[in-house]
Amino acid sequence: MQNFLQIGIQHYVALGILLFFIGLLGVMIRKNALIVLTSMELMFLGAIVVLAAFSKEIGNELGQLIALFGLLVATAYAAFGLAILVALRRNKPTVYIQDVNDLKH
Amino acid sequence: MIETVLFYIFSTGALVGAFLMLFRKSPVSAAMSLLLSAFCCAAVMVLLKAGFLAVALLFVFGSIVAVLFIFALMLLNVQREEWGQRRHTLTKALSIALVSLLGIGLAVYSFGSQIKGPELSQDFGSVERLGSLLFSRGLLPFELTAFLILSAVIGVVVVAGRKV
Repeated sequence: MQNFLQIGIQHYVALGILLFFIGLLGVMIRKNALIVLTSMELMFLGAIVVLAAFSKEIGNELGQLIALFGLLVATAYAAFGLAILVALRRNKPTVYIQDVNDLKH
Repeated sequence: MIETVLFYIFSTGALVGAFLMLFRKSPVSAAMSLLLSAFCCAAVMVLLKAGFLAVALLFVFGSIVAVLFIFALMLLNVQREEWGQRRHTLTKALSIALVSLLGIGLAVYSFGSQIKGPELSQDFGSVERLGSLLFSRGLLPFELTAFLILSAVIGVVVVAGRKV
């Protein structure tokens, strides 16, 4: 019971792991490319929660700094993913990833 | 005690947003669920004494959700997604394995022993300390990130603006 009332690093890490794996599930089972992109953002959210938790635990702000750089990289890949979606949409009228198998054969 | 209550409220909010995003059908409600999840994660960041990170998170995810909204409404005509038509058994098995892995992770981390970290200084996580760290030890990654963003912008323009 004490483990649940006293919030320690393990709670934050558990939250980060849960968010990461829910996002991974979304990437794997959803078919809509937009929702796959949002699921990737969710995986990233879990990662930065874990980074900030360990940063507080060891008393050093470097973890927050790495999370900040990760945030910038996340904006870059979100923008590029949407650009790929636009280019895809221009060649093929679909947003479902199972319809995009042109490189298969 | 107040940290416990706030942590449980906001982590529940983040997980509810995540599960809603997993199960809602339209991309618009998925984007809104991502916004809920990002807001609750920002609140958890405040609990972790990372206030600047929380604000940056809200800005970035707000803009991402707005752009996704425009895409979902304008480019892609919103339609229903067919659930489970071509899902394979392998995918189902992997999904179940992932869910059980998730449960194991939760159990391990909930029942593990308490770890006592070092005493934090009074101004831990303040913008001042983060900024001085950013421009001393993090200067090279900062500049490299600027190049990354620049190349991403050029790449987006090239990929999305090309007439094929």
